[in-house]
Amino acid sequence: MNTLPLPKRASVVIIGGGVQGLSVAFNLVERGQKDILVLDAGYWQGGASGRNGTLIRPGFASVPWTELFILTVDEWRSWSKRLGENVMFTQRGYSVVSEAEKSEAMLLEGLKVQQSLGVNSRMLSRREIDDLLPAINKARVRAVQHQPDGGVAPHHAVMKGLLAFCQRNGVDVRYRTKISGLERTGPRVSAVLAGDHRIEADCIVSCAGPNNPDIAAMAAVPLNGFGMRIEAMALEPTRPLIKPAIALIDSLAYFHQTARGEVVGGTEVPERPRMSLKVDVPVMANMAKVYLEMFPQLGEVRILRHWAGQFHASTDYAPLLGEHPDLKDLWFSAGWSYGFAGAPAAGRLLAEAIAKGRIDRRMKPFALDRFEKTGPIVEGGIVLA
Amino acid sequence: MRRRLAASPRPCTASASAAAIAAHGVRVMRVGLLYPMDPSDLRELADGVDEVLVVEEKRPFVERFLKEALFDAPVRPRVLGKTDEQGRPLVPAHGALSVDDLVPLLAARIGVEPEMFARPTHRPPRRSITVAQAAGLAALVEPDQ
Repeated sequence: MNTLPLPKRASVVIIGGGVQGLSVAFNLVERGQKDILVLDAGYWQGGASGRNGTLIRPGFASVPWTELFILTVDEWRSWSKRLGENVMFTQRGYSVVSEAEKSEAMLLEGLKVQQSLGVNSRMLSRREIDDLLPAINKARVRAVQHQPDGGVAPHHAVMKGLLAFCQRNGVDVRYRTKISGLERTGPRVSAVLAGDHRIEADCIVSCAGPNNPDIAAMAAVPLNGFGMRIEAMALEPTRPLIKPAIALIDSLAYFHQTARGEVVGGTEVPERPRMSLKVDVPVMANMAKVYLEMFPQLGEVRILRHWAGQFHASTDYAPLLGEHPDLKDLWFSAGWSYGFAGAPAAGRLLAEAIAKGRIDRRMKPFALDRFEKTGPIVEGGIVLA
Repeated sequence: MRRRLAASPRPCTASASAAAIAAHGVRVMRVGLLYPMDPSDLRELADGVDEVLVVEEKRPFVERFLKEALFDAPVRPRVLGKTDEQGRPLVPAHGALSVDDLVPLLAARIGVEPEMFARPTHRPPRRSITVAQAAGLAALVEPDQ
């Protein structure tokens, strides 16, 4: 842990040392950027980066989401090598399960989008469902869209890899360091304030998860969305029962079985601003009900842990990526609901934009001012209410 | 008082339980090395008991050594192991033997309730609930609105 006094200036200050912030730092280092400072109010892996479901998939139902997540899966594939740390990304496949006519139609539409963009994706026949998901309650399954290139990466391995890389490469990463304000000079943001300490910056990137709206408020600029809580749980380890990662788009649940046998996943909760890490018994009960209905064999398995995490929900649940339209040099990787999966793509696109001034076409649809300019992104393939 | 004896080639009994069964006239010999086994040890162990229960996994090696060692003894206790005195299966010949398997068996032989032998455990009582139990709460608990 770095106990030196905070520097007086940095080329890039990243607010948030989660998977988003560290991914930006890692990609900036790869592009030759020096003097990077990462500040985090909490502890390492204390936020959503240590609480998420770890699921990763390339294919959604809209072009912008699918293009972004094709990039992210490509990045995931190269991360272990580039970081010099094993992030344990395994492409065990990702199955999106529909239980209703409407969602089946959405999966078929999404499949066209995915195949037109080159995603390895297909609808499974009844026989393939038997082979791939022998334990699923087939009476409930209407259709399954399977993406063999999807998978999981345990977040502890990913966060360890990112932090080790950053520390080896001279990135100054400070946890337990809360910022108290942002300083504006004319049309641009110019410094970060941490109590009495002022850190001058050429560029500031907010990767503060559910606290992104607070960061925007410090800079007196608007930001779509609010901080929201979701919940997840882990079951005690059992023998292998579920091979691919699973998303149930009608039951609004997603889970997978980890390499050590625990079934880990979550369901959605009523959406409203909630900055709390308290868990709610009915959410667990509802999640258990979904498990029991879809995988009856899980009935006897005990619930080991149940926890909550927070994220930043934008109006269309799509990420907010790019420079703030009202304030120069203030960048955001915000609004994420698939943030763990998307972090490799986001880090790369933001680093290219910041270090090289190149705004990738895959990032443009996620601009912060899309609601005023082009409207929200319509995406039916995400597991959110 | 009738004396019985249990010989086990595997250390599967905690000392507290050993004391508990000793109170019921049971002697325990823990066999460390299966072969060669000294017949005089076995005769000494069997001296003055009514019955020897041999607890070993899979096939009856110790049981046969014991029977051989006692063959010429003037007074021979009953030797039980894979089968009881009527030839019915007793100690399972398949799988691993656990405390849970042996306690009821031993308790039945000496005529006490299995609860007499507290099972050694270092685990705290389980407070977690199963998926099915949690699912049963779904309609009972008012969701946070």
